Parts: sequence; structure tokens; C-alpha cells
Amino acid sequence: MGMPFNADEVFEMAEQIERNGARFYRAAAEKFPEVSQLLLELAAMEDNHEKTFAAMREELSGTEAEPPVFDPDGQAQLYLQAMADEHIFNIKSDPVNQLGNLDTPDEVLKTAMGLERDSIAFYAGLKESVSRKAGKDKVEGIIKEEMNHIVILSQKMEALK
Amino acid sequence: MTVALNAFEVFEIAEQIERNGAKFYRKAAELFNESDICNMFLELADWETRHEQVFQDMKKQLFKLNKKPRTCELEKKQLDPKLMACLAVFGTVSEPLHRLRSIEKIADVLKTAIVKEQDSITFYEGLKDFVPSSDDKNKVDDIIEEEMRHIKILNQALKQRE
Repeated sequence: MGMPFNADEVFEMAEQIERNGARFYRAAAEKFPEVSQLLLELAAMEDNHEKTFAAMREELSGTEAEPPVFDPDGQAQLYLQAMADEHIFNIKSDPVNQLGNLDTPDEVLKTAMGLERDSIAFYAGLKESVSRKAGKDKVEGIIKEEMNHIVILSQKMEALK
Repeated sequence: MTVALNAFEVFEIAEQIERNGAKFYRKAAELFNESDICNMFLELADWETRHEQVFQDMKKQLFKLNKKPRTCELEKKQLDPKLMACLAVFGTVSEPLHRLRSIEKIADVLKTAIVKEQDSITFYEGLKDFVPSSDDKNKVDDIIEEEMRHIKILNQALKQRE
């Protein structure tokens, strides 16, 4: 990817990250019945995040008066570009494929924590690149919720010990 | 049982994350002969050392503030301390130097470094809620931006090698 993204592309990627997350949680719930209820709840939360990003993208497409993306020197865009590079965070690859290598609920919870961490690191750049009017606060809210997912996953890991 | 952290402990973890990062980059610089990659690792190490100093200063500032009656007000503003304990897992559990022993290719070192930078960003996003003043929040934001820049630098180096 040589060119910086536009706002539409960035939000589309955020939606894809959430779709990937939800797919991973649902497939993991099928494989590990011991933790399926928790994983299905997390999948539903990721569905809600996807809807939020989709609504933000929809709103952005109608705004002409104020630039939705505030990133005068393009640094946040370059960061998102690096993050979306297949070397770091390949959103095109299906995370469900990772499940084949996971044998225990503990392993699946650890992998899920890593996926949540990847999302937070991406959204931190997304937050820097959008104006307050375009929904900076909403992105911040989703970051907080992803952090809470890490807490939920971490507590479940401890409970399984 | 998840252990809850107080604000001082959160800053101590942030310092530890930066110390680990600097040690990792200095050790990585020793492992390879290419001068451009060594210089890059050493520059990144210096950057992390500066971040450690910033967190240390912020912790001292917080200590001074906590001696004043505003303490309770500050405590209310804190994010769930259990959350920070969970996020700390990313920054502190896997000692980066330990991992370097089993890593031989530059590309693998670069990939490990990128993950460590992502871990730092995740922790610092949570840490911002422990910071009382908007001035200090801006300092944390600056550090997050610099960690993002590190990811860009590391990714660029990775692409040149593949």
C-alpha cells in the first residue's frame, strides 16, 4: 500500500477488524464449550463495535463542510498504513485459521488478548486521525471497551487455573 | 485474583516497560553487524530511555500532588485499577531480553520489537486515565505518538529486508 488511506478506507478497515474478531470468538466458542458463553458475549460486543464504525463511516460520507480527518502532517495515516501492512496486522487473513493451533481454553484466551491488543494499537492511530466532530470520542469509547475485554479475558484465564 | 494497582505502581510499570524496551534495543544492536540497523536500534533505545525519564518525572509530580488535599478528587478520576493490572501483562510479563536469546534473524527481532511497541501503546492508552492534568495527558499522548513512529521505522526496516 503506497498511498495514505482516506477516512472511508480507514473505517472500513476498523469494521473488518471487528468482523474478524467476532468470527474468531464465534469459531472459538464452538471449539471450546468450557468458555463458549463468554466468547459469544465478546463476539456480540464486537458486532456492536462494527455497527458503530459503520455508522461513523456513513456519517463521514455526508460531511463536506469540515474535513473529517484531522491529520495535517499525515503521521497518523502513515502509522495506520504501517499497522495495516501484512507484516504487522494482516486484516485480510482470517483469524479463525489460528484456531487450528490452539488446543486449550487458556491458549484461546491468550490469543484473544493479543487480538484485542492489536485492535487497540490500530484504534489509537485511528483516534489521532479523526476530528472530534467526526467521532474521536466514539473511537475512544471503543478503545476503553476493548481494554475491558482484556480484563474479562484475563479474569477468565485466572478462573481456569 | 486480579491485583489492583495504584497510580504510582502504574507509573512504575510504565518506567519498567521503557527500561525493558531500551535494554532490548541495546542488546539487539549488539547482535548484528550492519551499521544502519545497529544505529536504528541504538536510537530507539535512547528514545525509550527519554520516555522512562518522562514517566519518572510524572510519578514524582503525582507524589507531590497526593500530599495535597486534592488527592480524593484525583482518586475519583482513576480508571479501574484492575484494568491496568491486566494491561500490564503486555508490557512486563515477557522479558524482551530473554526472548532475544532465541531470535537470530533481523526480521524476527524487528517483528518482536513491533509487538513490544504495540504492547506499550495499549498500556499507555489506559495510563492516560491515571494522569491528573491535561498537560501530563499531552505528555503521554506525545509518548504514544513516538511509539507509533517507532512502529513505522521498524516496519520500514522490515520491508527493506523482505
